[in-house]
Amino acid sequence: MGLKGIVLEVANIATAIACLPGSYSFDGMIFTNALAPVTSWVPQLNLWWVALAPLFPFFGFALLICLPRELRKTLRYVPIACLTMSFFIAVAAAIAIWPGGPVNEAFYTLQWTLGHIGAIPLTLSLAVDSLAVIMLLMVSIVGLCVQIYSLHYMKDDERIGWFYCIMSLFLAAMLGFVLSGNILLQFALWEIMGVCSYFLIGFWYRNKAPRQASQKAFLVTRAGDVGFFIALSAIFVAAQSFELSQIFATAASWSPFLLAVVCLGLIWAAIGKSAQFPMSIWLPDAMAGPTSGSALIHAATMVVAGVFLLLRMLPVLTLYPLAMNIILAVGVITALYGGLLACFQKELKRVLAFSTISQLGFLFAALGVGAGFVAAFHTITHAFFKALLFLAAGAIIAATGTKYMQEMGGLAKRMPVTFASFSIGAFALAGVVPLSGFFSKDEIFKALLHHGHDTGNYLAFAGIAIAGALTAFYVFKSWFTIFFGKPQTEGSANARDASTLETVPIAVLAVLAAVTGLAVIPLGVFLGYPAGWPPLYMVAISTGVMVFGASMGFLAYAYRTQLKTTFARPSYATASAAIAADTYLNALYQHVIIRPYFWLSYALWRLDVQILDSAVDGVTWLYQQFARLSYIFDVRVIDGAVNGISWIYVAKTRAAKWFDDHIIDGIVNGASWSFVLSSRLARIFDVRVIDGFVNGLGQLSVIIGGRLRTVQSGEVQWYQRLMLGAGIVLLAAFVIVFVLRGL
Amino acid sequence: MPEVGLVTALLFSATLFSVGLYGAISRKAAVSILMSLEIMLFAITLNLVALARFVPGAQPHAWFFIIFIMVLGAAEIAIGLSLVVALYRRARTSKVEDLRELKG
Repeated sequence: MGLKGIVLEVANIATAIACLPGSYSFDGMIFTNALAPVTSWVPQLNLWWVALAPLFPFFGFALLICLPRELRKTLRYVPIACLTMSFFIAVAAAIAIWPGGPVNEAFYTLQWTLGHIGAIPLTLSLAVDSLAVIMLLMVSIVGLCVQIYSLHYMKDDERIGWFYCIMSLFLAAMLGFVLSGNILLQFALWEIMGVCSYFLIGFWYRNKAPRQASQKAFLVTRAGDVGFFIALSAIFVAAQSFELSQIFATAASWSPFLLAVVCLGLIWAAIGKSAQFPMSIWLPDAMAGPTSGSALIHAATMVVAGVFLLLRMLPVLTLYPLAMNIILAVGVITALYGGLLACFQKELKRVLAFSTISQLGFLFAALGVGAGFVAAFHTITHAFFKALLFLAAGAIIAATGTKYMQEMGGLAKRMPVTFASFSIGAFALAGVVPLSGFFSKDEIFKALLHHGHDTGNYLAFAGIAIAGALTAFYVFKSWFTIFFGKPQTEGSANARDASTLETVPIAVLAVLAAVTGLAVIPLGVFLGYPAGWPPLYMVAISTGVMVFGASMGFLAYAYRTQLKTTFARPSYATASAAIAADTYLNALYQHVIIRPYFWLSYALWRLDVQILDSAVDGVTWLYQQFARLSYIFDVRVIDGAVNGISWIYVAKTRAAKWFDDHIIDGIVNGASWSFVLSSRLARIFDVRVIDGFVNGLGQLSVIIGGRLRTVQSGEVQWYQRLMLGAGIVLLAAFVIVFVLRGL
Repeated sequence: MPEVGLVTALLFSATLFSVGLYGAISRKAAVSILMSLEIMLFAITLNLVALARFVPGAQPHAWFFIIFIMVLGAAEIAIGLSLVVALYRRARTSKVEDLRELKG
């Protein structure tokens, strides 16, 4: 325990320094170990510094948002440095709590009381448990890779500083979300993530598609947030607290109604955030944003948040079997739906988007059978390989200049590093032994098979197995299309590997995507779950499923190549029909939600026009009549009176004018005539006497100046002579004065 | 040989000063004027030497002023000559009557 001891020692010293000025508790902050240490040898852990993990990226955001664009661009390394700090904190936390413990049993809780609602304290808290630490590691690693990748990927964008600013906030919110031990805080960070995804998807807001996609994503996830809010309210009613520890402690004694509201609300929220059927429509459109932003949304932050929420709340959800069945059903349907649509996409990024939807369906299915560790495991492996696939896809799209897979081809030789990394990611996604996806997917299969065994209903397992085959199918079909055969366009023929700044994060993720699965046993220990190597029959099942899907994928590729079809040909009519399924979902929204909304608006408008407007019209008519009457009164009576008064006034004015012209004007004219006369006299005096005097003075000074001017001859010796003369005169004066005094 | 007294020395000094003054006023070349100024300075020095020799109690002050004047003279001639050289370079002449740009 050498390293662990050092970390704890450093932490204790840091705590001592932080608490030097006063007592151990800050203003309103209480530091507690909520639960007794899990294992006897764990000392009193003081992990306050884990709270810095989200604060560092938040600092990066707060700094960058205050700066003007150019400076922001220059300081884009600050968020990377901040996230690196978060990564180190996550590593230190993992070492400090090693060898981990069960999920939801906090090693350390940092609680902050905001105020009181009645007698109930309103608190915010961060709880460090094994799941939070694992997620911290995953989020910071993926975030770092994405941020370093973006340095080169986004280098030509003048708003790269803003991009970093938003990414930093996004990651800060996610790090805080996983650390949060309080559902109110979770809700706040959840909303921040929604806003950040809005900004990232709509990053290129000058174009129409990103703008619409960002609005769609925001509105759909907001619709999910309503569920969260309902659940939040119900939780507060039921548990009298927002603290997770309190919720878990009391959940068993909640009334069935409140439990149902909480569970359904949380599921509703997670479905919206994680883009599950039927609220999956926002995720494919979100591809309009920058690819590295998509990687962040798909792998580390946004969609993971929904799964993570359910994972956190699993102790509550398991109390309500219907909720678990809903999660399972949603998961299986989404896995099939996403996998099916991914098979028929033409754009590389859209394949990955539907793949994310499908893989999140796998996660939901695992959660639906209560397999929390499996879900966490697959979340992590999926984060690595999906981030890898997105970053590699970004590099490929940038290198070839096209987003359509049919226009690529033959990239294996031209982009070897990207090819190798993408292959690892793709194989991990398909579930090839012994890459990470194989182990985690295997665990999901196993969990569902056991569930089927227990309930006697193998429908969910069958659905997930088909989805697994579909995954292998679309992965291999895309893989062959992109990397083999002949380049279909000039851009693909000239494609090269991107710069080191892009390939290194991709390669790092490739290594992680390759080896994470092998760490299944230590990971299980860390999360307090007895994980083991997959049994042989499971390996056989999942490999069989994978090989079947992969061979179908190769056949599909080969068939297309043989026929030399392009995606515009009629042979893709079937594909178009399948793509329409996504369109149908959008159309469903159009008919079920948007149309009725417009209809309701129209009905309200008719009501407005027919009833309210006619009332208004009646009032207006009455008013017009009144106005007409008053006009007549005005013209006849008031105007007559006014005219009479004004006639009298005119006569009076005429008399006054006569008096004015003849008498007052005479007086005024006489006065002014005498004034003119006196002015003339004054002028003569002025010109003759005063001007003469002034001019005389001026001429005098001109004459004197002219004379004196000759003195200043400019000759040095002339000046010397003058000095000599002056000296003689002075001497003479002295002599005379002395002589006179002497006498 | 008549004894050299205070008056003789002062008269000699005054003659020397007059010669220097005449030269400073009448010579045209800047270098000559500087030389005349130098003669005037040493006339005064001689005056002080005489006073130091013949007037009781004048010695420390007179010596002090003699040294002061010698230093001053050295500095003055250094600056003056460099000024003349600079002027010559600029105006291609060292005749003071040609240098009258500052006339009023």
